[in-house]
Amino acid sequence: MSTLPPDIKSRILLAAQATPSTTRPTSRAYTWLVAPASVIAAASLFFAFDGTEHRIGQASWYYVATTVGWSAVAVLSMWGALARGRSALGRPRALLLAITVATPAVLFAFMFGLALMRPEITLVHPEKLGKVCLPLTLAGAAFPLVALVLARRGSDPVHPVATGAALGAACGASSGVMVEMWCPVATARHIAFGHILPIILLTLLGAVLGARFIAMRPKTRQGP
Amino acid sequence: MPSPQVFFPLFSSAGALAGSMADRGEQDWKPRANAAMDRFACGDQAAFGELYDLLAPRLHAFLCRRTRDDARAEDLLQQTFERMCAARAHFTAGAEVMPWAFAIARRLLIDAVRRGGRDCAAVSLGDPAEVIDDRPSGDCSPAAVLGSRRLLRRIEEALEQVSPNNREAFELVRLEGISPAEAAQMLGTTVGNVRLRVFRAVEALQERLGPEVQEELGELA
Repeated sequence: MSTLPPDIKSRILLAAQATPSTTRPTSRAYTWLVAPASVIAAASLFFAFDGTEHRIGQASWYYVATTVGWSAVAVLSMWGALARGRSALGRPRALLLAITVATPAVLFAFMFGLALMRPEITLVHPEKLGKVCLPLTLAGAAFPLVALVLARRGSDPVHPVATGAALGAACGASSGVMVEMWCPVATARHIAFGHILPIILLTLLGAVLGARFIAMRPKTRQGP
Repeated sequence: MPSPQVFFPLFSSAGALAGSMADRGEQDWKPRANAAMDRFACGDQAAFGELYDLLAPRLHAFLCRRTRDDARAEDLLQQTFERMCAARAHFTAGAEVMPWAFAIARRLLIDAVRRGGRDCAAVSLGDPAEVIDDRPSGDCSPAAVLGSRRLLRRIEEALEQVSPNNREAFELVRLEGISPAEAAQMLGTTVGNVRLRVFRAVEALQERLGPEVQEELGELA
């Protein structure tokens, strides 16, 4: 067993003092602030694009069902991606990957099932590809994703890519709640392109941001 | 040759150093380290010194084994504590600090190798004489020391022949005392796979070390 040189403790204590860091209460407060700020940002987008006026013609139950369904998935995936469980190493990689894959899959299955059970909802509006829904979902998710990645900056020594991807999927699903409240089109192609594809894109973006920012690397600057 | 039992604090579930420290009445170091990290995460700067005292010898031993280079191990140790300090806000309340600290050290080690360092997969138990010095007690006659050195050299050689994946799992679980579940997270695999790797490492060691130490190793499988 190698012995530690006597001067190393003081050297490490000095280096640690010089390392910028925040405490757990400060970090928690920052993370909790992201939620209302994200809701305000999403609501601003919603009303900037005509808000409830845009969905006229579609059945009310459809909005209730999709909002509740997407909200449930968004809350579950956000909880899975953000909460770290009992271990300081965070959620297991397999669980994070399950969240990443299941979030868009479950949402698409839910929407597709809704259209199969009540085909009349697909006839209310002519089919559109979703060229507005896609960027709207991306825009709504941009702020929370960046804020949460910064909150987690330099924190994951084990699986930062999986953590980033799960955060991306969760932010995409959360942003999708706002878009579902706004969009009256229920066809499968529109849902796939305008609502699910952005979640997949955000998952990929989250993975990239995770590798770049959430990963614990030597000499990186830390976030809040 | 002295009894192999003399050397097997090395393979105890709490690890080489932990084994020797346990004999010095420090079995409760894990809860103390967890509590110190919790306090440090909440802003108590003084807890960092205590955390250092409890973790540094173990991390240093781990890094020395992986790098075979004291200077490099010290540099990585410093970086590990710096990263722990920087990421303290993300330490989960009530969690075990040791797997987290080892995961950080391992990550920094991998990054160092990727940046052009030496092969970190190679394992060394360090200077056998130093290992012997850490024994809690025992026969220190010249013949015993000579026998110890020979046996430790054989153990070292046998470990080097174990596949890197199996050796890493064996080191984390058996030498460092990390639970299979947390080792699985660190290694990005399943608990069952970690247990299998440890079993295979022990099997390989038994095969290479011969019957004189097989009984001792068998208890570890």
